[in-house]
Amino acid sequence: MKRNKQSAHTAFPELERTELSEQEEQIFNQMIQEVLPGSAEETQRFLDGHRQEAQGQ
Amino acid sequence: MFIILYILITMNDAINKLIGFEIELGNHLCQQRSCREDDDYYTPSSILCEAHEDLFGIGSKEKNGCGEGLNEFGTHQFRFYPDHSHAEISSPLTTDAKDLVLWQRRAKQLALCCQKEAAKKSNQVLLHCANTNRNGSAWGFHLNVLVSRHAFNKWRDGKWHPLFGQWIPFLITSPILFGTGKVGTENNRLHADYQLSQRADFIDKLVGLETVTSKSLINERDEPLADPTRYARFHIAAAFDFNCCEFASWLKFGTTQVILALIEAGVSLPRLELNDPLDALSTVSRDLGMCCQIELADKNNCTAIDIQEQLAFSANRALDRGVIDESIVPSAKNIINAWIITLVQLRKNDHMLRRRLDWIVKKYALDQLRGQLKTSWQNPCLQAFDLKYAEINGGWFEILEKKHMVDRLEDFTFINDKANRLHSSSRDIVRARILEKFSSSIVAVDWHYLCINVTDNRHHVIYKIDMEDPLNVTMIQNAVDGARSPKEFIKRLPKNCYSHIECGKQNYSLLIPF
Repeated sequence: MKRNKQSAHTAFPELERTELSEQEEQIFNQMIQEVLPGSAEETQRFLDGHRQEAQGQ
Repeated sequence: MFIILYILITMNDAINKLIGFEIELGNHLCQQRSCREDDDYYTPSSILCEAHEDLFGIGSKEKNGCGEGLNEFGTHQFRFYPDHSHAEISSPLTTDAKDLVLWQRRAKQLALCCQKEAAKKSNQVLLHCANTNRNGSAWGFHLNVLVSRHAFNKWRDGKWHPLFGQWIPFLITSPILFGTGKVGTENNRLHADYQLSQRADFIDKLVGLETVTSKSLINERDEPLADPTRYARFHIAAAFDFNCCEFASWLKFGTTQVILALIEAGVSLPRLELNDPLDALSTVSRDLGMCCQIELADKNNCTAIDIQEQLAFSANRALDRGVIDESIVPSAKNIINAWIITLVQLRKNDHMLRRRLDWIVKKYALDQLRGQLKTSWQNPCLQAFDLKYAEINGGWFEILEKKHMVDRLEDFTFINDKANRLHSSSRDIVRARILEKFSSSIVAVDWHYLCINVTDNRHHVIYKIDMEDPLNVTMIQNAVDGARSPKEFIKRLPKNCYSHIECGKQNYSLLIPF
C-alpha cells in the first residue's frame, strides 16, 4: 500500500485538543474522572476480568 | 438502444429490505451467589437468560415442558438467548433503518433489565457491547437482511463473485464510517496504537461458514427462517462493529440496505474489486488519515473515501433513475444524502463528526486522557478506558449521551412518531400478539412458526401455525385480532396457514416434532 502524498485530507490523525470548547473539555474531563479505574492494580483487575470471558462469534 | 435493452433484461426486482440485528453481549461475571441447590455453576449467559425468563417468560416452564424457544421470545418482540457463554439478543425485523436504531436502544434497555434482575439474586454480571476484550476474544454484531431466493442463489452459485465488485469493497472501507475504534491490536496482527475497527483483527477469510474459530466477510449460511423458495436471509456475521453512536448505526443499517438492494436489482455499479481485500482491511483500519491507496484488481489505486464515494454517488444516481425507491428502502434519499455529506465531512476533517462516528468520539476522549496522564498508547489504563466505552450501565458513551455530547436519532432524522413507538415487520407484531393473548397455550415458537395447544374435553391438539412470509401475515393477524381463545383463533385461520398433530391425552410436550 502506498501513501498518497498529494492527498489534502489528513483527517483526525492527531486531533487538536483546542478544537474542543472549554465546556466540552470540562465534560470530557469529568467523564474521565468518573470512569477511569483509580489505580494500576484496579486497571489490571478490570482487564483480567474481561479476559476470563469466552469467545464469541 | 441495445445497451438499454441489455440493462432492462439483466435487471431484477429488489425486494423490501427487511433488516434486523443480533447483539452478542460481552458478559463477565463479577459476583455469583454462593450456592444454588440444583446447579453449582452458572455461566453469565445462563444467569442473564434466567433473569429474562423471570421477567418476560411465556407461561409456566413446568406446564409447558421444554417448548422450543419458548422463553427466549417475548411479547417485546426480541429473542433473548444463550449462545455458548454469552447472552445474545436478536431484534425483530424492520424496513426502516431509523426504527432499527430504536430497536437497538430498546435492546440495550432489555439487557439492562436482565442485568438488574440478576443482581436481585446477588448475581452481578458486567455487560458491554464492545466487540473484543483486547485479549483475543471477539463478539459479533450481526445484521440479517432479507433478499430474494433468486438473488441469493445467483450469488452463491457464482461462488460469491457477484459480491466482490461492490459489497466487499463497501465492507472493507466501511470502518471509516462505522468503526468503533480500538486501542492497540489483537490476534498477532500488525501493530497500531489506535485503529478504526474492532473486528478487523479477527477477519481472516473472504467467504466461509465458520464463525467462532474463523471469521469471514461473507457468511455462507443459508437459513432463511421464511419460505425458502422465495426468500433468503443474508447473514452479515463478522464485518461490522457495534456502534454506540446512533448516527453511525443508522447510516450502517441504511447503506447496507441500499447497497444490497442495488446489487440484488442488478444495477450497473462501478467495479471496485480489490486486489487483496484482507490486506486492504488491515490498512484501512490503521489509516487514521484515510489517505492510504488501496490497490484494485484492475491495478488502479484509490482511497477508502474514494471507494465509498463512488458507491454513494452510484446509489444516488440509481435512486434518481427510480431503480430503487422508498418502498424497498424507506428514507433511501435521506440515507444516501447523509452518506455523501459524511464522506465530504471526513475529507474536510469536519469535527462535527465527533458527535456522530464512534471511532472519532473515542479518539477525542483518548487524546484528552493521554494529555492528562502524559502517557503513551501502551499504558494499560487506555485499554481499560477503551473497554468502558460500550459498557451497559456505567459506560462512558452513556455519560456523553446524557451530556448531549453525541447526536441522538432525533437530532438527525425526522421522526413522525414518538421515539418510543417501534415499528417492526407484521410477522414480529403478530407473533408478539399471539404470545400476549394465548401465552399459556403456546408450546413452541420460532421466527417462522408457532405451535399452540388447543384443548377440547381434555383432548389435546397441537397446531403449527406457519409464518413463512415475513412480509405478509395479514390473514393470521386478522384471525388473532378477533379471537378470544386459542380454539377460536384456529377456527378463524384459513386452512393453509396451519397443520396439526393429534396428541390425545398424552403429555404433548414430548410430542413436538419440530
